[in-house]
Amino acid sequence: MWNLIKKDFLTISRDRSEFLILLVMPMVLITILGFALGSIMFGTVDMDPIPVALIIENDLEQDLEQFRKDLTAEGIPEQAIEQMIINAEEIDPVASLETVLRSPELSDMIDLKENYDQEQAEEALTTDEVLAVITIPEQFSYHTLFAFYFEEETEADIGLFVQDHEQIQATIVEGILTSFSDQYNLELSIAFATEGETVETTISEENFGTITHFSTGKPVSAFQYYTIGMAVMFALYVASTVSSNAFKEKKNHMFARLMMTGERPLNYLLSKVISAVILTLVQLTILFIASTLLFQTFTGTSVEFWVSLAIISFVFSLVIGGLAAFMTAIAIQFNNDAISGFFSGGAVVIFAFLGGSLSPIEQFSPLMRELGNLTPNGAMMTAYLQLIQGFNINDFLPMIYRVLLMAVLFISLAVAIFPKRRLI
Amino acid sequence: MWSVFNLQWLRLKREPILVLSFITMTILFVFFIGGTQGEQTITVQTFSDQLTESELDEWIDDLNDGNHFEFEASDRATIENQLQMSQITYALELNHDHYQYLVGQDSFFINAVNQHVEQVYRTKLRIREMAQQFPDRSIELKNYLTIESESLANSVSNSNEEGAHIVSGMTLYFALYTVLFGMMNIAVEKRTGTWDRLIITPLKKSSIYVGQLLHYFSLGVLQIGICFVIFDQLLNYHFGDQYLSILVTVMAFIFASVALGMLIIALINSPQQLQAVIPIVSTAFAMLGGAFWPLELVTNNFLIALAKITPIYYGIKALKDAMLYNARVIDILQPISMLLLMGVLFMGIGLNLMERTK
Repeated sequence: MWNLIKKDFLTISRDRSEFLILLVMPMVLITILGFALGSIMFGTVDMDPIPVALIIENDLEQDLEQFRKDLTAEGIPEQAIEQMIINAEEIDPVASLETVLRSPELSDMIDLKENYDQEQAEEALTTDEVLAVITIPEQFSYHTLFAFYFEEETEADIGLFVQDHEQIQATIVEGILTSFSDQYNLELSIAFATEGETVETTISEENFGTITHFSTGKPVSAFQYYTIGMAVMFALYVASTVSSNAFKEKKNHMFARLMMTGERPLNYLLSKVISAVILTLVQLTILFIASTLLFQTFTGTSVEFWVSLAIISFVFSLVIGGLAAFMTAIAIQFNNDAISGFFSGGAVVIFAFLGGSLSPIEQFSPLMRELGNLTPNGAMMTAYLQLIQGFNINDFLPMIYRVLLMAVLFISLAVAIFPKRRLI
Repeated sequence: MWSVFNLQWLRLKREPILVLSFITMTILFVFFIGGTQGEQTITVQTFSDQLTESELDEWIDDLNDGNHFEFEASDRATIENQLQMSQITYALELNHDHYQYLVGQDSFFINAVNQHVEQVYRTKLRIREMAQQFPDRSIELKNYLTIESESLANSVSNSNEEGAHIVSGMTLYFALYTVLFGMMNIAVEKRTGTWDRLIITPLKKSSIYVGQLLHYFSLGVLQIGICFVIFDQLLNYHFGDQYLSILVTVMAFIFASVALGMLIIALINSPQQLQAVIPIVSTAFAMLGGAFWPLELVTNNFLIALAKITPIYYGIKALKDAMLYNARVIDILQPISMLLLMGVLFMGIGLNLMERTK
């Protein structure tokens, strides 16, 4: 059987291109991933600050004057009016909004531009110079005060003009404004209920929404997720390549010649398993190491991490070997390479999808994740992800056992199907 | 030409499983990926160590006031198990005066969830404080200022852009995949010698090519057509009224795909190599062109430039314009002409190479 393996390697080294493609081309995808997603940090997106135009058509002085006239018309005493005007200035939303928008915390997210007028800003919006236009219309302060003191429906609207509602930058700006207006409305409603007396607050918003990591490691980043996803998906192609090549060997009678030498048929099958295992290991090694060197995917990890990684990868290679054997057996028994085509064309994509390689499957339903964990690539992906999150090997042993079971299953099926007679 | 065309259909009838399975898969995938994201409610598992069960339920009721999120009460043990098995990627932990997220894996949704939770949480705590300090007053939440939001684009359909993006992206991705895989047949034919036999017949070579390409073209258009019909009828996915625009876009895209197929087969003629190259090429194009994630997330200028030379980028753009913004054919001329240009270019180079290596 060692001769068979040697034969396989000689064949490969003569026709390098095929296997080179298999081993190296996933790097193309990982590179794209690295540049596209690598900058996405946890939760926040590392985008350029959004250019936002702020237009203030409001004139506080004028509005206060108008308000004063209204109050006088209602017959409210002079002193009360003065007090109300002072209060009004304090609760003016425009000042608060300006403070919020100009705050240093937001300066990373928003690039505020205040030198446009309405026409120029709308023009700038169409040319991508700004991505959002916030307009505080005339009499805004007045309307707010009117609604508050006279208990009428408010007519105070902050205008927001974006290119497209679903654009990410637009949703961010909308989010900031919504957050501001909700908080303002809340405080003002409280002030109304308490008739202006302050409600002390002990709420510290620093502790709102902090992120705790579930396990000892860091949470899995998007980039790590897709790297693993692509790695397990493309390992599946090793199986179909090996079986397809086996079929080619049958077609050009190499298989017949081997059988004539008295070589046991099952040894041939076993050699295919070993080739597949070695190929997968090499592929995964190249992927993980290159990805770490180029994109720091797995930096900051211990030796133990890499040992566990190697163990998981080895088990995965075993199941790929099993798959290869299974498909080889079918191809040679039925003398038809359709199985490889179907697998590499269809089944891989299904498995990849269910296993979560194409997109995080648990978004759709935990049930699909269950299904995914029944596929070899899905189960392995879960194991890899658990490893990254910092679990130790005992925690992902169940997945490893499951995959080993699959490997045994596939190899047994292969041995059963593989033709034992009439091989020449 | 028509005989070659018919020949391909006969071949297909003999071994229809591959193509049928592709079509089924496309439908299944886009159904899962697109259908669930169309009217998406994000489910958030919530638990608490400090609050009692009734207090937690009260919080959940308050949080479930919106219609984008659904919060479910759970307990720490269940959630930790789910996190470990990657069944959920994050969970919300509520406490008396603060809350936090337990996270296993990055998720794009946490920001959106947090905005909602922060708002509800702050409101509830403040009102509680007010009730403590002014127990005899009651509060009525009023809006003293509102936000009026407009956009340049006027969406017509009720589906949001995210959903349309995903549906078009994934459909086009799988269509490209199918077409390329189908065209692998040409490589197989060359290997088995039937190609050469066709050349010897009185058929003109151009007829042979056109017959073949027409077959794959119709197959691709048929596949997308079936998918869209199913989405429209069964999944209540609204494509707007611009069926002509959609049809034209689809045809242009399949044309570009078939041309791309010619180019790939001209470069790589072993079916075994093709089996590896085709998934990589189609997935790479789909990633670059924005079918997997929205391109706005990408900050690298090189990648954004690369996106503009993928057929899928223009396909998605034209389909979205047609579906969401009622674009007529005139409006989407630019992406369509890019697709046609790419098709002609790929086809030219591909045919040339194929003939030269004879």
